[in-house]
Amino acid sequence: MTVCNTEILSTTYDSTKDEAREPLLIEYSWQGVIKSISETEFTANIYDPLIDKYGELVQEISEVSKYNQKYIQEGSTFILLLYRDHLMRKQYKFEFIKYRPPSPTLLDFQEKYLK
Amino acid sequence: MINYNTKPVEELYSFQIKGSFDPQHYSLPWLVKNKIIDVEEMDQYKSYTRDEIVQYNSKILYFEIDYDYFKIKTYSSATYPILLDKFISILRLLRSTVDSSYSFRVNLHTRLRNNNHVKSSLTKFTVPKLKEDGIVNGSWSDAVQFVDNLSHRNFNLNRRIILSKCYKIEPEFQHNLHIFVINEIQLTKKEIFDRFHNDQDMIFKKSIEICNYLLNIVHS
Repeated sequence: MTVCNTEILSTTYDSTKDEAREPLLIEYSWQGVIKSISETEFTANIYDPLIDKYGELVQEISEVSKYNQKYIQEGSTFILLLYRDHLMRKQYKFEFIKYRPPSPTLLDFQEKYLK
Repeated sequence: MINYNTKPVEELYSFQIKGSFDPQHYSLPWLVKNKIIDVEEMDQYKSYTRDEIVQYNSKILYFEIDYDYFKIKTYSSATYPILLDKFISILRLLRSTVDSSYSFRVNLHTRLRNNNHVKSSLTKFTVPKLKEDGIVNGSWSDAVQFVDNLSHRNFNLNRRIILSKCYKIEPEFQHNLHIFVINEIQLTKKEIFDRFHNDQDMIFKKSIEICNYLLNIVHS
């Protein structure tokens, strides 16, 4: 195990190298709000904070992790992550904001698109 | 996701509350029972123990519970909203047993060209005045800290900004500089959740602004 031996000023340092499992290798992310749902898919407004642009996403429900499918409701906010798996393949993952209200940024975003 | 002026090689965002915790008590089933995570989400988490410190991670969120703290962290700004979401749930749950205080840290690692670049970057913050006044000649600092105490309507904030050389010996850490922004927040209002989102959002944004400012200086 590697340990950061920087003891000056701050002795607590958390490094990815010290974790038992490396964190998800996230390459990009978007914030989203679900606008409408059909039997097999949902439509969401998404926001790209890096370039400050809005767009729309149509997503098949079956492609969302089983444990997250119950959060697919109108007005649900989520983070869409683009990451690399252990074989360095590109993958997408939805992570829902479960506590309400979400952070002001998302709340503003939600208000803007649900009006 | 944050557009840093210079992309750090490593990022960490963490919340920590201090108190008295029995690490064994705060198991994964406890997190499920208290609706911090879903029962279906449990298999995403790996558990391990190090020196009695209990840790759970999903590769996105990392929980760490020791006898005197409860910490939750993430390694990407993209997942900060999820981190905040979980932290609020935890704080709501534990607020009767902990002080009305928490810490929020942004820890960055930024890579510089070589060791001289690390030295010259840190020197920008300290040595010129000492050199100008003839106190030192050619010395350099390997760490610098700035401290701020601020009072807001709902909380008192002690902020430490730390820049220090990373002494890890692995090649990927050589010539790296730590930029840490450590916010110690003491909530002063009883009803702490009234403006919690707004206040934490302000602290988060200011921390990122500080990091970007420092990244500009050290890379210029």
